[in-house]
Amino acid sequence: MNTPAMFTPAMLAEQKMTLSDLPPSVYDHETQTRKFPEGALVPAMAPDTKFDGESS
Amino acid sequence: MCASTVSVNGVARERVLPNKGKPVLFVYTNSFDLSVDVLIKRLGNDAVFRFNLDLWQEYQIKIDSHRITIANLSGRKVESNDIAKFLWRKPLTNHQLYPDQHFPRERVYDEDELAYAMREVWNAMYWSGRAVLVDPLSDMIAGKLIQAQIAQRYFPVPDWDVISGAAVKNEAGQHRVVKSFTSLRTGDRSVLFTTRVETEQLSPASPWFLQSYVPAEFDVTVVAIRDALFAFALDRATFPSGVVDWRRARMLTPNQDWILHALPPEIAAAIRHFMADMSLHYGRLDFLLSGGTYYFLEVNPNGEWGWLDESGGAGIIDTLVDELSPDTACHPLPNPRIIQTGEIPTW
Repeated sequence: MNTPAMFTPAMLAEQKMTLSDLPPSVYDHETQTRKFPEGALVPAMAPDTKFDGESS
Repeated sequence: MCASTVSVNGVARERVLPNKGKPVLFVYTNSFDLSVDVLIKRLGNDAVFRFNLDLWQEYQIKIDSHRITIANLSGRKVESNDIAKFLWRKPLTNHQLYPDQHFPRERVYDEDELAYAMREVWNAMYWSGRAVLVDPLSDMIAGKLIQAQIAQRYFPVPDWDVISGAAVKNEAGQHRVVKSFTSLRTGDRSVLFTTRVETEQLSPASPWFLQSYVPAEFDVTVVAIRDALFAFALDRATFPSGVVDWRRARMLTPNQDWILHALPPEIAAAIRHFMADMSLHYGRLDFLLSGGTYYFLEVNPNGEWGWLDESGGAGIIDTLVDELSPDTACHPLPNPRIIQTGEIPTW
Protein backbone atom coordinates (compact mmCIF):
# COMPACT_ATOMS: atom_id res chain seq x y z
CA MET A 1 0.00 0.00 0.00
CA ASN A 2 1.32 3.46 -0.89
CA THR A 3 1.99 5.93 1.93
CA PRO A 4 0.34 9.29 1.17
CA ALA A 5 2.75 12.22 0.51
CA MET A 6 3.42 14.33 3.62
CA PHE A 7 3.15 18.06 2.99
CA THR A 8 5.29 20.71 4.67
CA PRO A 9 4.22 24.39 4.80
CA ALA A 10 6.60 25.25 1.95
CA MET A 11 5.00 22.58 -0.26
CA LEU A 12 1.57 24.17 0.27
CA ALA A 13 2.80 27.76 -0.18
CA GLU A 14 1.93 29.92 -3.18
CA GLN A 15 3.61 32.87 -4.88
CA LYS A 16 2.96 36.42 -3.79
CA MET A 17 3.94 39.81 -5.17
CA THR A 18 7.30 41.35 -4.44
CA LEU A 19 8.76 44.80 -4.95
CA SER A 20 10.09 43.68 -8.31
CA ASP A 21 6.46 43.50 -9.52
CA LEU A 22 6.10 47.28 -9.12
CA PRO A 23 7.08 49.73 -11.85
CA PRO A 24 10.37 51.58 -11.19
CA SER A 25 9.91 54.54 -8.85
CA VAL A 26 11.77 57.10 -6.77
CA TYR A 27 11.01 58.31 -3.26
CA ASP A 28 10.89 62.12 -3.02
CA HIS A 29 11.81 63.56 0.39
CA GLU A 30 10.37 66.95 -0.60
CA THR A 31 6.82 65.61 -0.99
CA GLN A 32 7.40 62.54 1.23
CA THR A 33 5.72 60.39 -1.40
CA ARG A 34 6.87 57.93 -4.06
CA LYS A 35 6.98 59.01 -7.70
CA PHE A 36 5.99 56.54 -10.39
CA PRO A 37 6.24 57.13 -14.15
CA GLU A 38 3.14 58.78 -15.56
CA GLY A 39 0.57 56.18 -16.53
CA ALA A 40 2.26 53.40 -14.56
CA LEU A 41 -0.12 50.83 -13.18
CA VAL A 42 0.37 51.00 -9.43
CA PRO A 43 -1.66 48.64 -7.25
CA ALA A 44 -3.59 50.15 -4.37
CA MET A 45 -2.02 49.19 -1.08
CA ALA A 46 -3.30 45.73 -0.31
CA PRO A 47 -2.20 42.77 1.77
CA ASP A 48 -0.65 41.10 -1.26
CA THR A 49 1.29 44.22 -2.22
CA LYS A 50 2.75 44.72 1.23
CA PHE A 51 5.82 42.73 0.27
CA ASP A 52 6.67 41.89 3.85
CA GLY A 53 6.13 39.03 6.20
CA GLU A 54 3.47 40.56 8.38
CA SER A 55 0.00 39.14 8.31
CA SER A 56 -2.55 41.12 6.39
CA MET B 1 -3.57 67.74 19.26
CA CYS B 2 -2.98 65.52 22.25
CA ALA B 3 -4.37 66.65 25.57
CA SER B 4 -2.17 68.36 28.13
CA THR B 5 -3.12 65.66 30.62
CA VAL B 6 -2.51 62.03 29.83
CA SER B 7 -3.21 58.85 31.72
CA VAL B 8 -0.03 56.97 32.54
CA ASN B 9 -0.62 53.62 34.22
CA GLY B 10 -4.04 54.94 35.20
CA VAL B 11 -2.63 58.12 36.79
CA ALA B 12 -3.34 61.51 35.21
CA ARG B 13 -0.15 63.46 34.50
CA GLU B 14 0.67 66.78 32.90
CA ARG B 15 2.42 66.47 29.57
CA VAL B 16 4.60 69.07 27.94
CA LEU B 17 2.78 70.08 24.76
CA PRO B 18 4.58 70.59 21.50
CA ASN B 19 5.86 74.15 21.66
CA LYS B 20 8.49 74.43 18.95
CA GLY B 21 7.58 74.67 15.33
CA LYS B 22 4.37 73.42 13.79
CA PRO B 23 2.88 70.33 15.41
CA VAL B 24 3.03 67.32 13.14
CA LEU B 25 1.86 63.76 12.78
CA PHE B 26 4.96 61.54 12.78
CA VAL B 27 4.51 58.46 10.60
CA TYR B 28 6.91 55.55 11.04
CA THR B 29 6.80 53.34 7.96
CA ASN B 30 8.65 52.31 4.77
CA SER B 31 9.09 54.23 1.55
CA PHE B 32 6.78 51.88 -0.41
CA ASP B 33 3.82 52.47 1.90
CA LEU B 34 1.45 53.94 -0.65
CA SER B 35 -1.39 54.29 1.86
CA VAL B 36 0.74 56.87 3.66
CA ASP B 37 1.18 58.70 0.35
CA VAL B 38 -2.63 59.01 0.30
CA LEU B 39 -2.74 60.27 3.89
CA ILE B 40 -0.03 62.89 3.23
CA LYS B 41 -1.89 64.19 0.21
CA ARG B 42 -5.04 64.55 2.31
CA LEU B 43 -3.45 65.92 5.49
CA GLY B 44 -1.03 68.20 3.67
CA ASN B 45 2.71 67.66 3.54
CA ASP B 46 3.39 70.23 6.28
CA ALA B 47 1.20 68.32 8.74
CA VAL B 48 3.24 65.11 8.47
CA PHE B 49 6.83 64.06 9.07
CA ARG B 50 7.47 60.66 7.50
CA PHE B 51 10.31 58.41 8.56
CA ASN B 52 10.98 55.45 6.27
CA LEU B 53 13.00 52.78 8.03
CA ASP B 54 14.31 51.35 4.74
CA LEU B 55 15.81 54.77 3.87
CA TRP B 56 17.32 55.34 7.31
CA GLN B 57 20.67 56.35 5.79
CA GLU B 58 18.96 59.36 4.19
CA TYR B 59 17.97 60.84 7.54
CA GLN B 60 20.04 62.54 10.23
CA ILE B 61 18.98 61.24 13.63
CA LYS B 62 19.94 62.35 17.13
CA ILE B 63 18.29 61.02 20.26
CA ASP B 64 19.37 61.98 23.76
CA SER B 65 17.72 62.22 27.15
CA HIS B 66 16.19 65.61 26.31
CA ARG B 67 14.98 65.38 22.75
CA ILE B 68 14.70 63.53 19.47
CA THR B 69 15.78 65.34 16.33
CA ILE B 70 15.34 63.86 12.86
CA ALA B 71 16.00 65.61 9.54
CA ASN B 72 15.31 64.27 6.07
CA LEU B 73 17.26 64.76 2.83
CA SER B 74 15.24 67.82 1.86
CA GLY B 75 16.46 69.56 5.02
CA ARG B 76 13.16 69.30 6.84
CA LYS B 77 13.59 68.70 10.57
CA VAL B 78 11.32 67.50 13.36
CA GLU B 79 11.94 67.61 17.09
CA SER B 80 10.17 65.56 19.72
CA ASN B 81 8.24 68.56 20.97
CA ASP B 82 6.83 69.08 17.48
CA ILE B 83 5.26 65.62 17.45
CA ALA B 84 1.58 65.89 18.33
CA LYS B 85 0.70 62.33 17.29
CA PHE B 86 2.72 59.27 16.30
CA LEU B 87 1.43 56.59 13.93
CA TRP B 88 3.19 53.23 13.66
CA ARG B 89 2.50 52.01 10.14
CA LYS B 90 4.75 49.52 8.35
CA PRO B 91 8.39 50.13 9.33
CA LEU B 92 10.39 47.56 7.37
CA THR B 93 14.12 47.12 7.04
CA ASN B 94 15.70 46.38 3.68
CA HIS B 95 16.15 42.72 4.49
CA GLN B 96 12.42 42.54 5.24
CA LEU B 97 11.46 44.44 2.09
CA TYR B 98 13.79 42.43 -0.15
CA PRO B 99 13.81 38.92 1.34
CA ASP B 100 15.20 37.44 -1.87
CA GLN B 101 18.33 39.64 -1.76
CA HIS B 102 21.48 39.10 0.23
CA PHE B 103 22.62 41.86 2.57
CA PRO B 104 25.96 41.92 4.38
CA ARG B 105 25.64 41.02 8.06
CA GLU B 106 26.91 44.45 9.07
CA ARG B 107 24.18 46.16 7.04
CA VAL B 108 21.54 43.99 8.71
CA TYR B 109 23.09 44.77 12.09
CA ASP B 110 23.04 48.53 11.38
CA GLU B 111 19.39 48.49 10.38
CA ASP B 112 18.30 46.41 13.32
CA GLU B 113 20.16 48.74 15.70
CA LEU B 114 18.41 51.74 14.21
CA ALA B 115 15.05 49.95 14.33
CA TYR B 116 15.62 49.31 18.05
CA ALA B 117 16.24 53.01 18.68
CA MET B 118 13.12 53.95 16.70
CA ARG B 119 11.07 51.46 18.69
CA GLU B 120 12.19 53.34 21.77
CA VAL B 121 10.96 56.55 20.15
CA TRP B 122 7.56 54.91 19.72
CA ASN B 123 7.71 53.73 23.34
CA ALA B 124 8.39 57.31 24.45
CA MET B 125 5.42 58.49 22.42
CA TYR B 126 3.24 55.78 23.92
CA TRP B 127 4.21 56.65 27.48
CA SER B 128 3.66 60.36 26.81
CA GLY B 129 0.20 59.77 25.31
CA ARG B 130 0.98 60.60 21.69
CA ALA B 131 0.87 57.14 20.05
CA VAL B 132 -2.44 56.78 18.23
CA LEU B 133 -4.56 54.08 16.55
CA VAL B 134 -2.04 51.27 15.89
CA ASP B 135 -0.52 49.36 18.79
CA PRO B 136 2.40 47.37 17.35
CA LEU B 137 2.70 45.30 20.51
CA SER B 138 -0.88 44.06 20.42
CA ASP B 139 -0.04 40.79 18.71
CA MET B 140 2.59 40.06 21.38
CA ILE B 141 0.06 40.58 24.16
CA ALA B 142 -3.03 39.00 22.66
CA GLY B 143 -2.46 37.30 19.30
CA LYS B 144 -4.66 35.12 17.14
CA LEU B 145 -5.35 32.43 19.75
CA ILE B 146 -6.23 34.82 22.56
CA GLN B 147 -8.32 36.86 20.10
CA ALA B 148 -10.23 33.73 19.12
CA GLN B 149 -10.96 32.92 22.73
CA ILE B 150 -12.17 36.43 23.55
CA ALA B 151 -14.20 36.58 20.33
CA GLN B 152 -16.19 33.52 21.42
CA ARG B 153 -18.13 35.82 23.75
CA TYR B 154 -19.61 37.59 20.75
CA PHE B 155 -19.34 35.43 17.63
CA PRO B 156 -19.14 31.82 16.54
CA VAL B 157 -15.47 30.98 16.00
CA PRO B 158 -14.51 27.95 13.86
CA ASP B 159 -12.81 25.24 15.94
CA TRP B 160 -9.04 25.47 15.78
CA ASP B 161 -5.97 23.72 17.10
CA VAL B 162 -2.20 23.96 16.86
CA ILE B 163 -0.28 20.75 16.36
CA SER B 164 3.39 19.93 16.10
CA GLY B 165 5.25 16.65 16.37
CA ALA B 166 2.15 14.52 16.12
CA ALA B 167 0.10 13.16 13.28
CA VAL B 168 -3.10 15.11 12.70
CA LYS B 169 -6.15 12.95 13.01
CA ASN B 170 -9.38 13.90 11.38
CA GLU B 171 -12.86 12.93 12.43
CA ALA B 172 -14.96 11.52 9.63
CA GLY B 173 -16.54 14.25 7.52
CA GLN B 174 -14.52 17.03 9.15
CA HIS B 175 -12.97 19.50 6.70
CA ARG B 176 -10.02 21.63 7.78
CA VAL B 177 -7.85 24.49 6.57
CA VAL B 178 -4.27 25.35 7.50
CA LYS B 179 -3.33 28.97 8.18
CA SER B 180 -0.17 30.86 8.99
CA PHE B 181 0.30 32.81 12.22
CA THR B 182 3.10 34.97 10.84
CA SER B 183 2.56 35.01 7.06
CA LEU B 184 6.34 34.86 6.81
CA ARG B 185 7.75 33.62 3.54
CA THR B 186 8.44 29.95 3.10
CA GLY B 187 10.56 30.78 0.04
CA ASP B 188 11.80 33.86 -1.82
CA ARG B 189 8.36 34.74 -3.14
CA SER B 190 5.96 32.33 -1.50
CA VAL B 191 3.73 32.33 1.55
CA LEU B 192 1.23 29.88 3.02
CA PHE B 193 -2.24 31.21 2.29
CA THR B 194 -5.21 29.66 4.07
CA THR B 195 -5.47 26.30 2.31
CA ARG B 196 -7.94 23.45 2.53
CA VAL B 197 -6.13 20.22 3.40
CA GLU B 198 -6.44 16.55 4.04
CA THR B 199 -4.97 16.53 7.51
CA GLU B 200 -3.60 12.99 7.23
CA GLN B 201 -1.18 14.33 4.63
CA LEU B 202 0.38 17.03 6.84
CA SER B 203 3.93 16.35 7.91
CA PRO B 204 4.17 15.88 11.71
CA ALA B 205 7.62 17.46 11.49
CA SER B 206 6.09 20.94 11.00
CA PRO B 207 3.83 23.02 13.25
CA TRP B 208 0.32 23.52 11.90
CA PHE B 209 -2.41 26.01 12.77
CA LEU B 210 -5.61 24.24 11.75
CA GLN B 211 -9.17 25.48 11.68
CA SER B 212 -12.49 23.99 10.69
CA TYR B 213 -13.48 24.83 7.14
CA VAL B 214 -16.56 27.06 6.94
CA PRO B 215 -18.38 26.94 3.61
CA ALA B 216 -19.35 30.61 3.31
CA GLU B 217 -20.96 32.80 0.71
CA PHE B 218 -19.02 35.95 1.59
CA ASP B 219 -15.81 37.21 3.14
CA VAL B 220 -16.57 40.25 5.28
CA THR B 221 -13.79 42.56 6.41
CA VAL B 222 -14.37 45.43 8.82
CA VAL B 223 -12.04 48.38 9.33
CA ALA B 224 -12.50 49.65 12.88
CA ILE B 225 -11.20 53.15 13.64
CA ARG B 226 -12.18 53.58 17.27
CA ASP B 227 -16.00 53.61 17.17
CA ALA B 228 -16.28 53.98 13.40
CA LEU B 229 -16.78 50.74 11.47
CA PHE B 230 -16.42 50.29 7.71
CA ALA B 231 -17.56 46.90 6.46
CA PHE B 232 -17.04 45.35 3.02
CA ALA B 233 -18.16 42.01 1.58
CA LEU B 234 -16.63 39.87 -1.14
CA ASP B 235 -18.63 37.20 -3.00
CA ARG B 236 -16.66 33.96 -2.71
CA ALA B 237 -18.50 32.48 -5.72
CA THR B 238 -15.95 34.32 -7.87
CA PHE B 239 -12.99 32.40 -6.38
CA PRO B 240 -11.17 29.93 -8.61
CA SER B 241 -11.95 26.31 -7.85
CA GLY B 242 -10.26 25.03 -4.69
CA VAL B 243 -9.21 28.50 -3.46
CA VAL B 244 -10.48 29.47 0.00
CA ASP B 245 -8.27 32.50 0.80
CA TRP B 246 -9.34 35.78 -0.78
CA ARG B 247 -5.71 36.97 -0.88
CA ARG B 248 -4.85 33.96 -3.03
CA ALA B 249 -7.97 34.53 -5.15
CA ARG B 250 -6.84 38.13 -5.67
CA MET B 251 -3.58 36.90 -7.15
CA LEU B 252 -5.49 34.78 -9.65
CA THR B 253 -8.45 37.08 -10.37
CA PRO B 254 -7.26 40.66 -9.88
CA ASN B 255 -10.65 42.36 -10.24
CA GLN B 256 -12.10 41.61 -6.84
CA ASP B 257 -15.14 43.65 -5.91
CA TRP B 258 -15.34 44.41 -2.22
CA ILE B 259 -18.80 45.92 -1.79
CA LEU B 260 -19.81 48.20 1.08
CA HIS B 261 -21.68 46.01 3.53
CA ALA B 262 -24.30 47.02 6.09
CA LEU B 263 -23.56 45.23 9.35
CA PRO B 264 -26.54 44.20 11.46
CA PRO B 265 -26.64 46.48 14.53
CA GLU B 266 -26.02 43.57 16.90
CA ILE B 267 -22.87 42.56 14.98
CA ALA B 268 -21.60 46.16 14.96
CA ALA B 269 -22.20 46.36 18.72
CA ALA B 270 -20.42 43.03 19.22
CA ILE B 271 -17.40 44.28 17.25
CA ARG B 272 -17.18 47.40 19.41
CA HIS B 273 -17.36 45.28 22.59
CA PHE B 274 -14.68 42.95 21.24
CA MET B 275 -12.36 45.83 20.29
CA ALA B 276 -12.81 47.31 23.77
CA ASP B 277 -12.00 43.92 25.34
CA MET B 278 -8.86 43.80 23.20
CA SER B 279 -7.89 47.38 24.15
CA LEU B 280 -7.63 48.25 20.46
CA HIS B 281 -8.31 51.62 18.80
CA TYR B 282 -7.69 50.26 15.31
CA GLY B 283 -8.02 46.90 13.59
CA ARG B 284 -9.21 45.13 10.50
CA LEU B 285 -11.45 42.23 11.43
CA ASP B 286 -12.06 39.29 9.12
CA PHE B 287 -15.27 37.25 9.13
CA LEU B 288 -16.88 34.58 7.01
CA LEU B 289 -20.58 35.15 6.36
CA SER B 290 -22.47 31.91 5.96
CA GLY B 291 -26.26 31.77 5.89
CA GLY B 292 -26.54 35.01 7.85
CA THR B 293 -24.02 33.93 10.51
CA TYR B 294 -20.81 35.94 10.98
CA TYR B 295 -17.91 33.61 11.85
CA PHE B 296 -14.99 35.45 13.45
CA LEU B 297 -11.58 34.68 11.97
CA GLU B 298 -9.19 37.31 13.34
CA VAL B 299 -8.42 40.96 13.92
CA ASN B 300 -5.22 42.41 12.50
CA PRO B 301 -4.24 45.36 14.73
CA ASN B 302 -2.23 46.90 11.88
CA GLY B 303 -4.32 45.63 8.97
CA GLU B 304 -4.12 47.31 5.58
CA TRP B 305 -7.07 49.42 4.38
CA GLY B 306 -5.71 51.05 1.21
CA TRP B 307 -7.41 48.88 -1.41
CA LEU B 308 -10.83 49.05 0.24
CA ASP B 309 -11.41 52.77 -0.20
CA GLU B 310 -9.22 54.00 -3.06
CA SER B 311 -11.61 56.79 -3.98
CA GLY B 312 -12.28 57.77 -0.37
CA GLY B 313 -16.01 57.36 -0.94
CA ALA B 314 -16.47 54.87 1.88
CA GLY B 315 -15.24 57.36 4.47
CA ILE B 316 -12.18 55.49 5.74
CA ILE B 317 -9.75 58.18 4.60
CA ASP B 318 -11.88 61.03 6.00
CA THR B 319 -12.06 59.26 9.35
CA LEU B 320 -8.32 58.54 9.42
CA VAL B 321 -7.53 62.15 8.50
CA ASP B 322 -9.75 63.36 11.34
CA GLU B 323 -8.06 60.98 13.80
CA LEU B 324 -4.52 61.68 12.65
CA SER B 325 -4.46 65.41 11.96
CA PRO B 326 -2.13 67.17 14.41
CA ASP B 327 -4.83 69.81 14.80
CA THR B 328 -7.67 67.56 15.95
CA ALA B 329 -8.45 65.94 19.31
CA CYS B 330 -5.99 63.23 20.27
CA HIS B 331 -7.12 59.82 21.46
CA PRO B 332 -3.97 58.14 22.84
CA LEU B 333 -3.69 54.37 22.88
CA PRO B 334 -4.98 52.84 26.12
CA ASN B 335 -2.42 52.98 28.90
CA PRO B 336 -2.32 50.54 30.53
CA ARG B 337 -3.59 48.06 27.97
CA ILE B 338 -6.18 45.95 29.73
CA ILE B 339 -7.17 42.83 27.84
CA GLN B 340 -10.55 41.68 29.16
CA THR B 341 -9.94 37.97 29.24
CA GLY B 342 -12.30 37.23 32.15
CA GLU B 343 -12.54 33.47 32.42
CA ILE B 344 -10.79 33.15 29.06
CA PRO B 345 -8.49 31.53 28.12
CA THR B 346 -9.53 28.34 29.84
CA TRP B 347 -6.19 26.57 29.42
